[in-house]
Amino acid sequence: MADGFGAWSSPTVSGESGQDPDSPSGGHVEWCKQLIAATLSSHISAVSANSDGTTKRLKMTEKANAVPLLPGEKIQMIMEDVTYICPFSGLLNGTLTITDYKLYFSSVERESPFVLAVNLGVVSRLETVCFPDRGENTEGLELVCKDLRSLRFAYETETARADVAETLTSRAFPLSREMTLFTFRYEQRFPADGWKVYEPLAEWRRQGLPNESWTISRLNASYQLCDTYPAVLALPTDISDEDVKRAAAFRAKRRIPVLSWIHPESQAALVRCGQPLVGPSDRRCKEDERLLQIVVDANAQSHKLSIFDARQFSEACSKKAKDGGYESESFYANVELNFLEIPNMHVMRESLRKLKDVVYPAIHQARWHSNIDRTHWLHHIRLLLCGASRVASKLERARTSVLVHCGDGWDRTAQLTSLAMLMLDGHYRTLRGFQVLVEKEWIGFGHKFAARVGHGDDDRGDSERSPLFVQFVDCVWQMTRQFPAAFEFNELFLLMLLDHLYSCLFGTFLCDSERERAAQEVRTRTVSLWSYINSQPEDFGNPLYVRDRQRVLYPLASCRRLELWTNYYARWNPRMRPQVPPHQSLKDLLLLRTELERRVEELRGEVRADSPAAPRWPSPDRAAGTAFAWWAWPFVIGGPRVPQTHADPSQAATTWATQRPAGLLLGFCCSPGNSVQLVIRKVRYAPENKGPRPPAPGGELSKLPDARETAAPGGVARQGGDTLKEIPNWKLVIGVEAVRPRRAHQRRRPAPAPSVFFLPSSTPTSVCSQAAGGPVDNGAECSPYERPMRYSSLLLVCTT
Amino acid sequence: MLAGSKSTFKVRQMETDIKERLLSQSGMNARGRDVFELRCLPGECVLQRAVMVRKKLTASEGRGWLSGTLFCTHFRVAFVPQDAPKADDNADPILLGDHDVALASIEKVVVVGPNRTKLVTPNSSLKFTPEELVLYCRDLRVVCFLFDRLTPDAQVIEITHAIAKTYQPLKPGSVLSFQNAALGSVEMKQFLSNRRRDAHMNWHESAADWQRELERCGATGWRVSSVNDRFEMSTSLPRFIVVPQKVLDTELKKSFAHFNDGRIPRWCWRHPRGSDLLRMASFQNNIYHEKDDIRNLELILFGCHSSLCVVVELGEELPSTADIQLAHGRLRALCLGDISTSVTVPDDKWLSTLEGTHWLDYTRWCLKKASEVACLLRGGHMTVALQEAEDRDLSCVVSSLVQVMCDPHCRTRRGFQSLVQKEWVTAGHRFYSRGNYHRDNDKEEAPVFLLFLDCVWQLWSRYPSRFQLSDDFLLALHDSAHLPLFSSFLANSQRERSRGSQNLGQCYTPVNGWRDPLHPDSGPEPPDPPLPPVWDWSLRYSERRQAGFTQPVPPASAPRPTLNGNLNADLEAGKPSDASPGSVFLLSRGVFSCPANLLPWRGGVGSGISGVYRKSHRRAPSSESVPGLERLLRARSLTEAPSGPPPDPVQDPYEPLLPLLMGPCVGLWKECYHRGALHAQAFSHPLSANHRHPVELLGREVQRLQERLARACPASSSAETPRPRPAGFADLNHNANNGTFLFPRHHGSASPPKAPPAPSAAPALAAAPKENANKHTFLFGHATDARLGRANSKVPKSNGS
Repeated sequence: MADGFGAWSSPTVSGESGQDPDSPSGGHVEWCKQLIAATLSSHISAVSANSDGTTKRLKMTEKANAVPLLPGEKIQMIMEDVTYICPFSGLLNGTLTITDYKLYFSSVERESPFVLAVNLGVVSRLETVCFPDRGENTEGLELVCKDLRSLRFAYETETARADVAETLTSRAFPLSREMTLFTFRYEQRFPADGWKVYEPLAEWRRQGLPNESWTISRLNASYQLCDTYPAVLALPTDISDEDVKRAAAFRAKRRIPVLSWIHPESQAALVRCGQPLVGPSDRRCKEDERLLQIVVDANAQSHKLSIFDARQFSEACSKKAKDGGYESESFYANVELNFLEIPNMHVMRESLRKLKDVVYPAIHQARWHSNIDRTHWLHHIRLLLCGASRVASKLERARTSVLVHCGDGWDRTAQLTSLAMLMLDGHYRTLRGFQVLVEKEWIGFGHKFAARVGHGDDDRGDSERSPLFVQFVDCVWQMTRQFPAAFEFNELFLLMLLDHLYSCLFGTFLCDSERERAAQEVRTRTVSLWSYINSQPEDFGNPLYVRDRQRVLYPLASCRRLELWTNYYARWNPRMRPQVPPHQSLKDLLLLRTELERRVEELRGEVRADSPAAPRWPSPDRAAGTAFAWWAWPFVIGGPRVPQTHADPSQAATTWATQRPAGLLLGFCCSPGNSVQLVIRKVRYAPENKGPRPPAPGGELSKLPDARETAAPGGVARQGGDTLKEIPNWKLVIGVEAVRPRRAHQRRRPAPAPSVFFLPSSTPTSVCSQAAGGPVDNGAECSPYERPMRYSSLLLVCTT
Repeated sequence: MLAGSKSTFKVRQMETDIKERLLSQSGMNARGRDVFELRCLPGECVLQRAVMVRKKLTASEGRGWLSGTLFCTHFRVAFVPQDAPKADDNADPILLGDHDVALASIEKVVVVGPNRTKLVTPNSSLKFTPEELVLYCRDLRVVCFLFDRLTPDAQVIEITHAIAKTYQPLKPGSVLSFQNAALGSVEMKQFLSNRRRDAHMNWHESAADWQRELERCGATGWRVSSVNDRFEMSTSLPRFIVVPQKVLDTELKKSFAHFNDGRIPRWCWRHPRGSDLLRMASFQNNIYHEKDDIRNLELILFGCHSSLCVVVELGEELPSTADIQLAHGRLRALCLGDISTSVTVPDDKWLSTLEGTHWLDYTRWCLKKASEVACLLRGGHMTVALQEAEDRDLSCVVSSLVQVMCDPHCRTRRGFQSLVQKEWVTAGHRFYSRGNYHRDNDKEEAPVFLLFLDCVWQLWSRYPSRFQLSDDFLLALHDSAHLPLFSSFLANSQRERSRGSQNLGQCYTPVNGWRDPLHPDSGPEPPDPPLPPVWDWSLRYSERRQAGFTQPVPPASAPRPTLNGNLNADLEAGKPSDASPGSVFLLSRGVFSCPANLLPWRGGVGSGISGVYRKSHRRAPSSESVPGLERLLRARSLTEAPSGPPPDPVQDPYEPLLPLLMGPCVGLWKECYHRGALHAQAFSHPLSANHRHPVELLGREVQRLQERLARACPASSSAETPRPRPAGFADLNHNANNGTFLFPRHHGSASPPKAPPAPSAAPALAAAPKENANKHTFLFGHATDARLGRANSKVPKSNGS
């Protein structure tokens, strides 16, 4: 976070504003970081955790009463002489400022200034408390927060401000007072646009849809089929719209079975829906039965469908009396029904409440573990992980299609499907992919965020609220602990996600369904959380990440292996804070990795320059000071495989030339700017030795005809241009590292390392983009050391 | 053999001709291999083997299965994977391969049949053909072999019996025969006696070693005394001890009687800010104190400081050895879910049961004590003396933990080995009694050393990037402590050890021999084979495993402490200025006090104290400076919320690594205690052995490219780029780790590898990183560092795992 909000408009400014913390924007930026990364520092006692902490601390003392504001934020009231009753360090006198976004308390009483900034979205309940021992005139306020803490303030009633409570209430719960949330007035602009992260069609294309069994349906374009489903649905090809509508009437909240994810190889499908409205009289619905049969038929590898009902069996039975129920195995042919026995959301809410008692404010040292046991929080996490692994294992090992539902299909269902997808598909374990997953499975499919979190609202009471998304993120965190190298994002990202679930600073988690969001024009009027995250991805990266798309993760779901996520639940206790914040060391490691990459590039350049054995590739750009970035390896279908052992491309080229597999050999230059110049050389595949002989290593290569084409990074080069047209049935895929704005700490950014390869034109786009290192439209990311891995997977794809 | 009768198999003798054949095979060719590719030790013979066996891999090995051949010799159970690379016949013998289990570390053998499990003892008979063989080890491993359908049934049964018969519960006789089986052959003896010691660590055995340590710490005012050279003063103390310079040996001799077992206050370590850490046993009260004695005693206690001495009483707040043993026993029972009795803790009671073992409490207590001491030391200009009744158990834990926290050198692998050598092995921790390998005195048994390793792991998991050693190293040390093979862990004191050792060059043998009736606690009879020290890792671990003992990326830290130790100029909260000179305080239960009877002679002798302290004692030690001391403790967030930002430890290498001690922060060392968990699923891990880590891959590539570069133009580039030595990895790795592992280039190119880093080089080294704006760039200026290349698969994790 070396440069903050203000600097995003242009990357060149960033260095300057970072260096000058004294300027108003610098202080503001600094403060924004504190606020937004509210992770380790709620009780921010000194302002900066950065290296030059002392100077900043001094400056902060001078302007301790200047409240840093977000763009668009306005101060509502300021009150002097308020006491903050800190459960850890006692009473503190200071100034309380309330804006329309946050509550800001600062005190200069002690040696180091004390600052407390809490956004008002996180407040779950406001209570007046009395302090009998502090005189009659003293009144107290307690803010019970959603993120497991309670703040208490005391002030004297005489000095007026009976309106403190009122101001706080109206700002914390604007929706109950018929006001708007702060997010609609938030004026920050980010270079990345988070609303573009998830494009349903692109995501389906990545999964290879539409195909012969599944199609993209616009049936719900105006949300008439189901008002809590997204506009774009993936439905079986073989069912008519009329049948779908009839089936919808048979499912709770009209949430029919739709596709969530499809296995790239076996075509086993993960399908989600609401409970069937069986009712006490055991109703049936032909169309629904037919729909499920079609789902079974779409998967050639198995003749069964596994239905996972997330609920406890007893709960499902009792729902039958209330017109709900579960699929009967006698009515639905080829179906096996499993109950995952996960308690309902009220149990979860209660469990988290107990957890709060254990972790805040005091932690009972000696009885810590048994207290955790008693909350049952970890047991619920275990049930979820266990259920999701069962779903994933059914899809992966048994190659059976799976249908998941609970009651309405938006709470436990979302938890299970998204966790299962996270286990099955490595794409969702990347930073971008995870955003897509949340957008798709949670936001798109209508998890009722507004109701479950209770954004800006104290009317609805507790009964609708439940920490289901928190539970999901906790499960993800458990997986990151068990598979430290499998996720591209780090713990800070997950913390950020949860903090902004409550903060209402971003529009991402607003409203209950896509329809409501469209009605409120959330996408145009607010900023997405992903904009913020993707504008500084280096803060959220995991240095241990190894890209591996294929691997399926099965976490160990035993309480012995699970841990309590103390960095989230118990983070308010200052004694839980380590000397070095973990994300700082992560960032150091990432820097180290970047440096190593740079070093590899440099050395590779030197080796190439010095080694006389390596073939010299003519490069017009090299004279002009640009360097070769990478030689793509030749890739031939059906021909002899080029040994993958050569980590060095020029060596590979030599081998290629001597072993004489025929095909395409290509290289390219990359200028530090944005364009990629291709040098494409063709050698015809000559089984009868008719074609031109492959060149010997050395200068001969240059005699071959070549062609150049400039392509934008991240794009798929179209088969335009004369030379490319001569290669029928092949298409060219370019993967280029996304060009990011230059950051202060990167003195020399490694040159973007593109990769180019040809694939048969019949290859589905999803495979192409996967091969290129990511969704091609977003700018694929790849770095040199990952290439061997990807190539081997590519070979696999093409030879089958 | 099996086809007809699946009924009962008694344990029976192997047919003699087979046995002889096997024996003669391996006997003839001492360094030979078994027909089925087991590389035997000299003199080792294979008793039984079974083909087509699969071994279950643990999570850290990548999970899944490995198929190969299982052997039972009279020293180990060996497993050779099918496609294992052929070992070099001329390489040095390795006692235990990666997949082997020493017989002495087996605690229990259990077989799993089609529908039952059975504990196998030497006398038991098998009524079914086992499908699975589970070996429960003392070091908390559980090794599981699966017999395929292709494994001949006869072989399965034979090998099960062979293992059941040869593994023995530890007894004096069996330990000795185990040692003989492993090391007893003539070739092995010769091999061991020719082995050279690791010269890059400090063994703390000779006077020069101690002198080196004094220089390393920059401890002036102290000297090495050989007053105990013949163990006349104290049988449990090492031959050389470090005492203040101003105390003469003759004066020193009078002090021994005042302490339990003669363990007088001795110097252990100096904090870079100038405080000294001492250790001593409790006072002997029943001895008449002469004036001069008392003066000497105080001189020793105050060391080279005159102002302040804090005695830290360890007995009261720390667990007793019996507690530790009990807790460890419970933890074992909890973690090794026992298949034979099928008693498992229900999953939803797991945390409560874990809490009930109190093991985590004990690690917390030790860490807490150590961080208190570390905070005291950082105040500067005082001596802190750890006092324990016997000074042989928990004071080892605390003093070495303090050094791990404060001294970056002790967080390197060799530094840590030196530390264990200093504070445990030569300082006289009773490894022999505590380990109880011979099962002759169960009351004394207590895994104090394991508790220490657990504490270090807690620190490691919190600050992995500040350690050069890895958790694999800690694990290897943990396992070694369960193997009765190493001289380091088989004696109670340096005296016993040197009696047992055959290495006459190192130790002194008096003319009249060692038959000394005055020392009834003398250890075991000198064992037959010469036992190697535990630090000879290449005896047990392959190069690849040893590479995993250190982190691939050197931690970004720490210039060496400077020589004069005078660093406390800017320590505002630090020094209690109002301390009256010569005050002695007692720290007990987190409270400072100066009880009259703290130093027993003071109350008795009254004001008649001679020498420089007369004045102060007339005033009686006042409690004036107590608040100052307490502030010192509190300043470090042990009892209060920290005020101010946490000091950046990268900037200040002397800042101790303070562990977080809240209940949630002390975790279970899962890699150790959960290794054997049988419920682990056999799914592969993304970061497994055949799947290298990106940083490691990059490091290797840097190395490789540099080599190529060197080959391409040997003449020109040798001047400008640092070059890997032709000697290759091993050498570099050895000399790069000497405390200054951060700056291997200075070592590699400027000077030949020398055991102690030249102290004078320290300031120059320290200056290096400051010149660089980017604090990481210096790592890459010296990329010859071979450790990048031979990196292991571990990389600092954020929070441990």
